Amino acid sequence: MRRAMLEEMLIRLLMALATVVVLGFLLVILVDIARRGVSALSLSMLLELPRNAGREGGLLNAIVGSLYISSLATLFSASVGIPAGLYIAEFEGKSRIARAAGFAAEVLSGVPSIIFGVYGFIIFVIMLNMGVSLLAGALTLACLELPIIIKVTEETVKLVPSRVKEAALSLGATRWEVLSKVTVRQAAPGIATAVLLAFARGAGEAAPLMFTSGYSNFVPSSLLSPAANLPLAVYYLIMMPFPEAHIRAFAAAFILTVMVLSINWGSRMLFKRWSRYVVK
Amino acid sequence: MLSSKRLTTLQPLQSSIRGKLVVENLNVYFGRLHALKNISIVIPDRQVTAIIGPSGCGKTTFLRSLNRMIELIEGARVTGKVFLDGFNIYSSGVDVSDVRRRVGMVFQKPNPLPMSIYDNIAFGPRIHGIRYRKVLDKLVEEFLKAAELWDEVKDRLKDPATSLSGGQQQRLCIARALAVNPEVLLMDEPTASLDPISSMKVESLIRELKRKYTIIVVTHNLQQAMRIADYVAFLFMGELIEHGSADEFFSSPRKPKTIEYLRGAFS
Amino acid sequence: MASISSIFVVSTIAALLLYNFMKFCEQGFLPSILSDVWLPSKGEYGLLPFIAGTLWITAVAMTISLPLGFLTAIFMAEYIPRRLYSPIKSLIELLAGIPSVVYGMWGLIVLVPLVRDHLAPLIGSSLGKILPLFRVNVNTGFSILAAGIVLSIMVLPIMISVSEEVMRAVPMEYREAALALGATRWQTIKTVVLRLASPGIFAGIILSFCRAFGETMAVLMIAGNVVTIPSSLFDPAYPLTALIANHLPEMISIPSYAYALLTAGFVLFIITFSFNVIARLVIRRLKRVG
Repeated sequence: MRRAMLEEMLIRLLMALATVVVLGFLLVILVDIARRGVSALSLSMLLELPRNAGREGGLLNAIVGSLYISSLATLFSASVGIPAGLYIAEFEGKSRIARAAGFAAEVLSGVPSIIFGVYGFIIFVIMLNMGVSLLAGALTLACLELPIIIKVTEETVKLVPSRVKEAALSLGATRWEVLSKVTVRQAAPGIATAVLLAFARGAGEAAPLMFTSGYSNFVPSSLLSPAANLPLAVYYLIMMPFPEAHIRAFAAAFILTVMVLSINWGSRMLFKRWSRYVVK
Repeated sequence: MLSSKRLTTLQPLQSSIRGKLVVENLNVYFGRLHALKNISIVIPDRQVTAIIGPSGCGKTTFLRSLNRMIELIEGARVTGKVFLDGFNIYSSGVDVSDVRRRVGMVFQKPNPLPMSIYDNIAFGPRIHGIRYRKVLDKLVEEFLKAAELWDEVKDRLKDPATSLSGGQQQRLCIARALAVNPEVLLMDEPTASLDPISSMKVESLIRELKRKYTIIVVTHNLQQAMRIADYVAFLFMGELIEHGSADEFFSSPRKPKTIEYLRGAFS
Repeated sequence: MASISSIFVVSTIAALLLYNFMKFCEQGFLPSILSDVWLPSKGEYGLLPFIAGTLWITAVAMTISLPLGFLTAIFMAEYIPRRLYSPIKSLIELLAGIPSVVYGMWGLIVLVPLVRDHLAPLIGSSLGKILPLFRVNVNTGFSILAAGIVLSIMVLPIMISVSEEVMRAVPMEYREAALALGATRWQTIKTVVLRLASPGIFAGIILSFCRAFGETMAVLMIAGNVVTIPSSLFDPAYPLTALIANHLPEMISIPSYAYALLTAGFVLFIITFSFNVIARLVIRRLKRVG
């Protein structure tokens, strides 16, 4: 056999093995999480507050806390990020601010999550005197989500075909009308997906929240009260020496993973549906 | 309905030249490339004028100079004057979007907006101030009928415009352009991306429309020009070689380049 | 209106950067940060053990994920039957969506005991006798190996998707040219596709490196958090991210401690920042040309 043929077969074997290993990792992890999580799950787990240092009770504090923090954070990051993304996409060639902002977003997207935590701790908790609170945590998370939203918005808007914009211009639309009435419509499904994905990403983060939103065994009562969240719940509970706490950690991990993965998967399905009017 | 209030700031022209669009010494440059050289022509009112010539001779550039869409290209520079009903659309202070409303355009490849069929037609009237649902409904019906598309889509006005076939989309674009009540309709190779049957439909539509609108069609298809044109202009390498009524032009062309072209010497 | 929010973005990042930088300069412990002595109580703030820890773990993660990811990417880009592409790509993206705490938890429950009870004794008694790299000095399972393995799984999706996209972007014409001359699939890939895609693949490697370098939760739970300079795969380590995560609240009371931690943060930031920018520039330039 030619040497080349041997090489070919060898590579195919290695590739198949590699892919199997990679998928294997995925399956092993998912199955393990699912197994432990399902057996740990119960209605009380979802609806009760924790008692006795995590040895009894449920995860209501973390579930509600996560929902509050992530929703607030995504609200903040989307309201700042979407206009920013639109602006950068439209004016990148003409405005130095646009280019600088785009660059800043790039930089921000590579920053490790703990640094956001440090930043949030210094600025929101200490300097702005919010204390360790739901609000501080949400703002910190918003900073983390911001680059995702900006980048996807920017890319989606850039992908709007020029002939769509030309069509609107030829009908006598002003540049602003083209942007707000046509470009946005074409880009909307992509932007909405970006928001969902940013939400899911934020929901899974623990490091930024460790020192900014704190932790609490209760459902947060106000913006300035500390709030628990699912990722930190997993962390604290699994690090405890009690097996009962570990069970709750599994449940929390399961709930968190299901939530994040279904938003990720669901956003893709929704994207197809939302793209009904989009010009390809 | 839709008024031309916005053009009142222009200087009027005292001119004995009659014609819907009067082009005077139009030059277009792309950086250092001199794309259109000193074009002067009078476009007759409510007739179909065909702009013909080989690929790359500047037909599309010329067309886009008539509604100031040429300015969207980086580095494009226009000198000369284009008078629409006596007003120079290139004078300073002109509202460009109003020019574009009055001089509508249909593109080579249909370009529906990312909306429903209804919203595509309603888009123009909406941005020019018409809000009442009933008025818009009537407009949509009127112009879809004018484009001979109404019967095919009247039951699915909410469907995405992209769900239409190519020929239907092009007629949609025509209807959409008409809905802003233009006076001139520019058509850049409107049937180039269509199948023969849709092309025929569009051509007969053009013949109908010229009763109300001044139409300028760019085409590389000589047979099509012979079928639909009342007036013909021949462009070659950015220069206007010859122009005249269609009968004269096709039966007794004067310039040698015209004769060569008509004989099919180049593409 | 929109410009305000963009300025907001710029100022956020500028503030982040500037603040850390300021503190870094202020601190005055500059000469000693590269020492290996970390005794905050005595005012010694050598960051070397932590930097070493992060590097070791990242190196292990890259060593595992590079070949695996690369091979899988080639498979996905060139060999995969069309029907399988979509589902497998979705599965790999699923892997990317799993939160890092969950990876950490899994690593804690599954990998740490695995290393402690099976891998360490096995490898320690065989390879460990010959190579110090594999010697088992302390066997708790909380080790560079465990952390590196988990990190490699986390990093695989980036590695795979970037490489695969870049390879797919190579135009068919080049492949056809080689195949028509009688080259096998693999030869075509080796000589044509990889050569054209290599900047992009390189960028993917850098992005994966950044991700591994900056990961916090997973390593926090698995690496052991012992202040030493590691010398073997089975030693525990204390990555920079874990250092910050463990001690941040303490810094408000002790200013010099704060400076040290912020310096650690600054190191993290600078390294991930520069590599990230380089990688993205490469990708951008590729997208424009291709």
